Amino acid sequence: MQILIPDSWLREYLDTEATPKQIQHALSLCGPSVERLHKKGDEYIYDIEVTTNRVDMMSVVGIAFECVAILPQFGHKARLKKDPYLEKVKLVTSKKVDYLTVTLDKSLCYRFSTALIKNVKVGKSLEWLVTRLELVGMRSLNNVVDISNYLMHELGQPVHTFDYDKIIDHKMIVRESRKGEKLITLDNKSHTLPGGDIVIEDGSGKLIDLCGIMGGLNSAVDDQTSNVLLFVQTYEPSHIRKTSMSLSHRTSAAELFEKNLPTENVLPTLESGMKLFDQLTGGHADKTVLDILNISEGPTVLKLSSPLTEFVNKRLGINLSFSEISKILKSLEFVVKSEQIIEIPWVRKIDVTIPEDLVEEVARIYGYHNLPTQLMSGYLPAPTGDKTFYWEAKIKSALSHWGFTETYTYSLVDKDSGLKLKNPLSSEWEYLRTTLTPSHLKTISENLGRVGDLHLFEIANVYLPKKDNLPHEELHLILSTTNLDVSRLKGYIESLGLEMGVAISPQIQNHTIAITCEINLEPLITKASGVKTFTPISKFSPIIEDVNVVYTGNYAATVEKIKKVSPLIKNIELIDKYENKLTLRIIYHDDTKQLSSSDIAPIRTRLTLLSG
Amino acid sequence: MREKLQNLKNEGLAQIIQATDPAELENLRTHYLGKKGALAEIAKELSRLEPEEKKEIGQLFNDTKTAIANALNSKPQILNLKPQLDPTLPGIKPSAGHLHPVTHAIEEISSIFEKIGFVRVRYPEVEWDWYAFEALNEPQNHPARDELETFYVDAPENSKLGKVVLTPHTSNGQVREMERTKPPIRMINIGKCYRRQSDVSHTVMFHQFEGLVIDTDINITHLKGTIDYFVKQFFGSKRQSRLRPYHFQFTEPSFEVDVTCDICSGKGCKLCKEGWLELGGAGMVHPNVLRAGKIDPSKYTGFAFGCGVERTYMMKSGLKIDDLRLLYGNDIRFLNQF
Repeated sequence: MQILIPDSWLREYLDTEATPKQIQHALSLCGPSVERLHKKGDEYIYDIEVTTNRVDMMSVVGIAFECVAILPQFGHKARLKKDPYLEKVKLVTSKKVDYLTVTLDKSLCYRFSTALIKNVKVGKSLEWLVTRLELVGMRSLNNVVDISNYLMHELGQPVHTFDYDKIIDHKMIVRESRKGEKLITLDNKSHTLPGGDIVIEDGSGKLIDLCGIMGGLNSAVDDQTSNVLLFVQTYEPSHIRKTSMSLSHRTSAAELFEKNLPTENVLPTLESGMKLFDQLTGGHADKTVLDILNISEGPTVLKLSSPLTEFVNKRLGINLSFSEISKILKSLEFVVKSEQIIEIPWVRKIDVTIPEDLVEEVARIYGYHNLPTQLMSGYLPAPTGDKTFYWEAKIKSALSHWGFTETYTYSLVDKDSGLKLKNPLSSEWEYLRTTLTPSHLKTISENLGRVGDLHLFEIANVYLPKKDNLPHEELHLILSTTNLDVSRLKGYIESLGLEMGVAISPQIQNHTIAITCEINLEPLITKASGVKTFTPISKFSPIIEDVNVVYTGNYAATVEKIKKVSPLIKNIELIDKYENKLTLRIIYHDDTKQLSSSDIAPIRTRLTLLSG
Repeated sequence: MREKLQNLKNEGLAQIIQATDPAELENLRTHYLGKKGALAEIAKELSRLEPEEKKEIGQLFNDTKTAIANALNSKPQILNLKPQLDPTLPGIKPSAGHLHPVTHAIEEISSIFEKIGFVRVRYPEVEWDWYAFEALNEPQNHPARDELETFYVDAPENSKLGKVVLTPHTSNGQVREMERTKPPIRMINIGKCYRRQSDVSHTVMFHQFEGLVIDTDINITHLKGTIDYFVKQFFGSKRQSRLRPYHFQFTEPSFEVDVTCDICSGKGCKLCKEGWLELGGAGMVHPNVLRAGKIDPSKYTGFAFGCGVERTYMMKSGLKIDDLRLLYGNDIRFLNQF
C-alpha cells in the first residue's frame, strides 16, 4: 500500500528538528520505506510504502508515531504534539438513541458508532482543506465528502456519511446479503451481490450501504442534504475482503477494513469528525452518540515462556540489556511489565501477537545497519547425492562449445495434451507442455533468415499428468538444427553419450524447417558416470587399414559380422559411405605380440569374401 | 685428397642449409673460406701434388670452393624469403554456441553459495497450495496472496494439500527441504516460477533463488553476513547491501535487501530509489513455518531469502536490458551476444 504524507501535515502531530531528508533516511532504514520525497512549492511530500501488516501506518498519525520512536536513534529529538492513541475522548455515548433504530449481526460488525449532525450546509471546502487533499492526490468534492477523506488520511479509519433524511423510518439492519440482491454504489456502479456480503438494509428491503466498501447512491449526501449521519465502524475483515475481491471493487476503505482495524480508533475518529463538521459545515451533533461495541477491548498482554532479553538477543546475535530493550519498546508505547509480560498498545495489537514480533520491533528500531555481519559456523549439511545439476552443466557446456546456442522457451504453450490452466493470462500460454519440440519449431521458424544456420538446444522440464497427484516433472534435452544431416546430429548425441558414459538411442525427427531430437535426461543421468577406467597402454602398435565393404542397409549387422571374423579386430570405424559401399577403418591389435602383415593376411581374405 | 674435398663440400653445404641466422652464416664463411679456413689449408697441400693429379684435384678444389661460396651467398635471400606472420590477419575460430544469460546467472549464483556450504536443490514447479502458501503462514484469502498473481491448474484438489498451482516463488522449497532433511540446513533452491504478469519488467515465467538456513543458533547477523558475502562476490567489492524492515508472512522479522545502484554509485538517480535497488526479500523463518516443517521453533532458528535470478543479473554492472521479455523471446541475435 502506498500513502502520501505532506511534511506540514505530519508536523501537526510531530515535533522535531529533523529535516524531511533526515526523516526519509531514518524511516526507510527502521520503519516504512520512504520511496520518494517529492517537492511541490514549499511543501515536501513523503511517498511511503506501507506493508500489509502495518495498516496503522496508513495515516498521518501512524507515521508520526513511527517517527517518535525512530528519529532519536539518529540523534534527532522527536515527540508527539498530541497523541490520539492515549487521549481519552469526551463523548456522551449510548447503545440506544432515539434518532436511529439499529438491528445488528454482532459477528459482522465489531463496533457500530454514529453521530447525527443537524443543519449541515453542504458547499465548497475551505482552501486549506482543498490544498491538503490535493497534496495527497485527492480531489475536493464538497465539505462533507472532504471531511471523510480527510479523517481517513489523518487517522487511518474510514468514515462514511449518510443523508439522514433519505433513510426511511430511520432504521438500519446490518446483515449478510442474500445472493442476487442489488445495490448501486456512490460511483453509480450497479452490483448484483454474490451473497454473504455485509450490507445495511433500511427495513423496507432496500439496501443502502455496501459496508466497508462504498455507500449506496440512494442514501448519499447531496447539495440538498441538511442532516448527516457521521458513520464510523469496524467490520469482520474476511467478509470485506471477499466482497471487494469478488466484485473487483477495491476502495481505500476496503483495503483498510479487510486488514482488521482496531475498534479503539472509532470514537477518536468520530470526535475529530464532529469537530470538523462544526468548523466547516456549521452542523451541530446531537449530544448523544450511538456506540455499540461487540467485542471486548481490554489490554492485550503478550506472555513469554522465556525471558525477553534472552529471546531477543538469541535472534539478534548481540547482547542488549533488559533496559535497552525496554526503552525501545516503550518508545513504541508498549508497556514492559517484566521480562515475560508485555502489554501491547491497542494500535499494534493486530500485528504484534507472538514474541518474534517483539524481536522485529527491537531489531528495526535498534537498526539493522547497526548489527554486525558474519557468516554462520556449525556443521555443514549432508550433500543430496543428486547428480542432475552436474550433468546439466556438463551437457550445456559441451553443446555450447560444439556450436549450439541455448534457448529458454516458456513452459506454457498454446496447445498440448497436458495439464490446462484455470486462469491463463493469454491463449498463448494455456497448457503445461509435455514435449519441448513444438516450442523449438516455433523458435526456429521465428529466427529463420536472421542468421545463416541455427543449432539450438534447451534443457527444461516437461509436465506429465498423473492421476490424483502433481504431474511428473521430467527433465528433457532438445537439439534442433536447420542444416545438419541426421548422421551429424546423431554424432553430437553419441558424443554426449561418451561424455556421460551411457548409450543414448536418439529419436530424430524430420520437420520441414529443421531436424530435432528430444531426449529424456532422467534415466541417462541416473546411469551416467564420470568415472573412467584406465586400460594400460600396449607396448605393441596396432595395424590400421581401410577396407571397402558392401552396404546392406544395416550398418550395425555388418559391423557385428566383421567383429566375429577375428578377435584381433579391436575397433571398426565408419570413414565414408558412398552409394552401396562403406569405407571402414579396421584396427587390428594383439596385447601379447607385435602383429605383422602376415598375421593379418588371412583375416583380410575373409573380409574380402564377406564384402564380395 | 679427393675424398677429403668431397666430404668437406657435403659437410659445408649441409651446414649452410641448416643455418637459420646470418651470424651463423658468417661463422661458416670464416670456417670454410677464411684466410686460415679449411679450404686454405687444403690449398697448401695442392702444391705438393703430382702435375697430373694436380689438374684433376685442382678442378675439384675450385668446384668445392665455388659451391660453398654460392651457397653462402644465396642463403641470406632464402632466409629473407621466409613468409612473415601478419599479426593483424584474423584467425579461424571454431564455431561456438552460446549459453543463455539465465544459465550464466544460475551457474554464478549457485557456485557462490556452494562455496559457503549451501546444498543446491530443485523442487516442483507445479505445486500444492500447501507448500506454496498454507505452510508458509499464508492461509486462504489472506491479503498477502494478492501480490503473488498465481496461476491455478485445472486439476482435482487434494483434501489435505489443496489446489494445484504453478509456484509463484521458490519459497515452496522451504518446507519441502525441512521434510527432506533435518537441521543443519543450508539450502539454495533455484528454479522456475510463474506469475500472471507480463510487461517490460515481468514475464509469466521467471527464475528465483531461495536460500534457507536452519540450525540451533542462527541469528540476523548470519543473514546479513550471507547476503553481504553474496553481494560482494556477485556484484563486486564496491557494491554495498542493506536490510530494510518489510513484511512477509513466512518470516518474522522480515526485510527487504537493497544493493547500491551501479548507475549512480549510490548517489540517487532516476533508475533507483535514492541510490538503492531492491534485490529481494529476506527474514528470520516464522515459527509457524518451522512447525509446518516439523521443526521445533524453541530449539531451532533460521533465516531465508529469495531473489529473482533475472533481476539480480540485470542489476550487475554493465548489463542493460530494457525489456525483460527479451530473455524469453529467443531471438538468435539476442542470444548470440552472451
